[in-house]
Amino acid sequence: MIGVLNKLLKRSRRGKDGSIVLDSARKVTGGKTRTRVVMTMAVFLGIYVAITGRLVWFGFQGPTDSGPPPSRVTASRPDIVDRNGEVLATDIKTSSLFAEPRHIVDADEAIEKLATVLPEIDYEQTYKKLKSGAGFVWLQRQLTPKQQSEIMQLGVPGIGFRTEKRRFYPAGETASYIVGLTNIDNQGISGMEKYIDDQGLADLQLSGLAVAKDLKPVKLSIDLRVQHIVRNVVAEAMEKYHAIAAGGVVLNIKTGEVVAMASVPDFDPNNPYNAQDKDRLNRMSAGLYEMGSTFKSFTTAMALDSGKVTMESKFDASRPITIGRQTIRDFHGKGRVLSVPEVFIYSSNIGSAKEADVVGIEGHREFLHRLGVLEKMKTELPEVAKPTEPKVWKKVHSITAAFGHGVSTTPLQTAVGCAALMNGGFLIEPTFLTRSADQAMEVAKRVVSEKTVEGMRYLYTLNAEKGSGKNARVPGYRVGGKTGTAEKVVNGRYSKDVRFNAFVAAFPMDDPQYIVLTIIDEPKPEMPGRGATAGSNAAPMVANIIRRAAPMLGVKPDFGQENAATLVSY
Amino acid sequence: MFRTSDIILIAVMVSAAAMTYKIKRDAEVQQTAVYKIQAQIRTEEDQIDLLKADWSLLTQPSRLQRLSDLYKDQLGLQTADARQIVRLDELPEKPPLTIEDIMADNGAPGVDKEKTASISKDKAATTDRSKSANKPKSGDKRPVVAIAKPKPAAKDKLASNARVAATDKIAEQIEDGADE
Repeated sequence: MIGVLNKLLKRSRRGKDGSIVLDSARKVTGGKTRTRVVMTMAVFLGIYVAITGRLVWFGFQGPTDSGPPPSRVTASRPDIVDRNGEVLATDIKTSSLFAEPRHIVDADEAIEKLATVLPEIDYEQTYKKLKSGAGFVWLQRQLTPKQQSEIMQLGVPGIGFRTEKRRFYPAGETASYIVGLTNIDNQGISGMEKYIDDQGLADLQLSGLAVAKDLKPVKLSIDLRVQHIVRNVVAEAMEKYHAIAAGGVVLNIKTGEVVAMASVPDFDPNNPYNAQDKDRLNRMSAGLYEMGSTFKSFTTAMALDSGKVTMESKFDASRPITIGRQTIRDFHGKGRVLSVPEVFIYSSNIGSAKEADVVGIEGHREFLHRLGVLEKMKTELPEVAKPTEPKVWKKVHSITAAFGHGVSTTPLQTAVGCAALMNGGFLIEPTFLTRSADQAMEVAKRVVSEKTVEGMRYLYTLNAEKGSGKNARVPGYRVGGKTGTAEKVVNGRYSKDVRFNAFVAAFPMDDPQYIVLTIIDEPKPEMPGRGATAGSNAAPMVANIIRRAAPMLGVKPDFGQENAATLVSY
Repeated sequence: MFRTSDIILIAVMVSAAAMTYKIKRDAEVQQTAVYKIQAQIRTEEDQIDLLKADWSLLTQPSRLQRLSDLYKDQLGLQTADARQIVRLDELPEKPPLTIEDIMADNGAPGVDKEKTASISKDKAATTDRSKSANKPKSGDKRPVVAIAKPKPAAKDKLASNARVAATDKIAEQIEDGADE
């Protein structure tokens, strides 16, 4: 080819010299060859330009809208287990089936094949979906791995799977308030789930280091069995007494561990559509109440601890106390002089007010703070309310606080305060994580003396034997406790008919291990004519919990000491 | 043209290439196997997680309570009463088991009549022996003494035999009961 070109060039050069030019030979072939070459080049160039142009055009074109939506990066979370290792919350991988209708060859065949694995599939709807010509449709969410592998075996073209991580709560509503919830991005938004995030998991997830395998399960102090019993008893009671809410807590007084805590109404964490409702509130730690007569435990303990009052001290409860516009009366008035145990078991408001009077206003306030009843509780659970108290304590406040009115606190804190009066005088912050008794003693603060504790144990036992706590007794388990029937404020006045009842119990009384506290909000009498005081609803709740849960808590029944309280002489 | 060393070097080169190829290929095969196993492990792990969740769902106290309520008639389960829980040291002491008691309890069918007879004979022999111990001069008693001599051990053995028989019988009764 190069030779031909040279010849051509030579010929033309020669022509310019003025020598003889044989033009015709060139004209016969050369001219045509030239145009052919040019044409061929043009055609090829055209083809390449078209290809390049098309490529550029494709490059600018976005990908067609087929395939699933971009995958959400769901972060791994550690499992949450109870004290016995039972799963309370776990991550499970689920796969969802999608189809790309454009790639479906035969919609009828595809549906028929899928129906062998998914019998509940809707033929008509699925057919419409597959014929819609859309880029992407979901066919079935959350398949089991077995179904997934079976569908894969079918070999239907145009369908695929997308795995999603989902938080699953096997216990459902049983421990909903304690375990809490996660949002769609698997971040904790309430309960212990939020606590775990605040402990650094959130940062770990952000940095992408939260690998499922490295996350150790978080062990809670909750015992799922006891938790179920408490939730069950509380839910039954709410229905039985037509109350607006109820709750219960079981607290280990030696370690401060919350073994069970339930509040109804609650929600199902697997389907928390109503979790944000107004009445869905963990009343045990986030509800503030005037705890009523259960506060008399604190008043009596304070009076005994001050050393100014002994068990033999007498208080005149024959006349109501009038202070300002308020008159303090007794619910079960005896109209006579009462000893300290009598003030306690007859739940005398007048007697309690006089006990508080002995200690003084500032002393009273200081004591309640010392017991942590009026401080904001420090615990793992994020939903904790701050107790309220009068800004300036006057005499009337001290008097009303003596029987649990005028100051409001959370039921859990009341239980913790009572635990301090039972466990030897140590205030131990409650925890939802496991803790041994030794670890608890490191954080414990002594708040009352050994002698006061002894007296309080005696009074609790006595009250269950002879006083308002009779309904809380469980044969064999030596229960002692104190009722609390508080009148609720309706339109700025204390109402006679709307009540908030509580019962705080400790057992077994010869060596208290657990505090059980139940609350019930606005109970109605079980049957017309019956009372709706704490003794007739909150106390039986405690009894039901202890009867069923005590064997699981490892408390040994003992019938030998059934009448110990009457025999003990203080 | 080719020297021997060249031929050797070429051979070495070829074999080295072949070896490299083989190793590479083997490694690829192994790699595929590893990927496969890893995928399998992942699926298994996911499955374990799922089964764990399933297990805790099935053993939920609330579910068990619902079931026991539903099948109350058939199961007859009740909440354990405090009186049903007893410590070991609170159990009344069991009177020591004697061979006569077992035999009296078992009655005729369980125990071999012959054996019973022989045991009582044995017992009789023992008493004889204690008597004869006082007067060892009577030579005709000798064989009886010889039989009676290993008595304590023999009695234990017999007792344990009888006990075995008794437990067998209990097992039988249980099986019978199950059949009914």
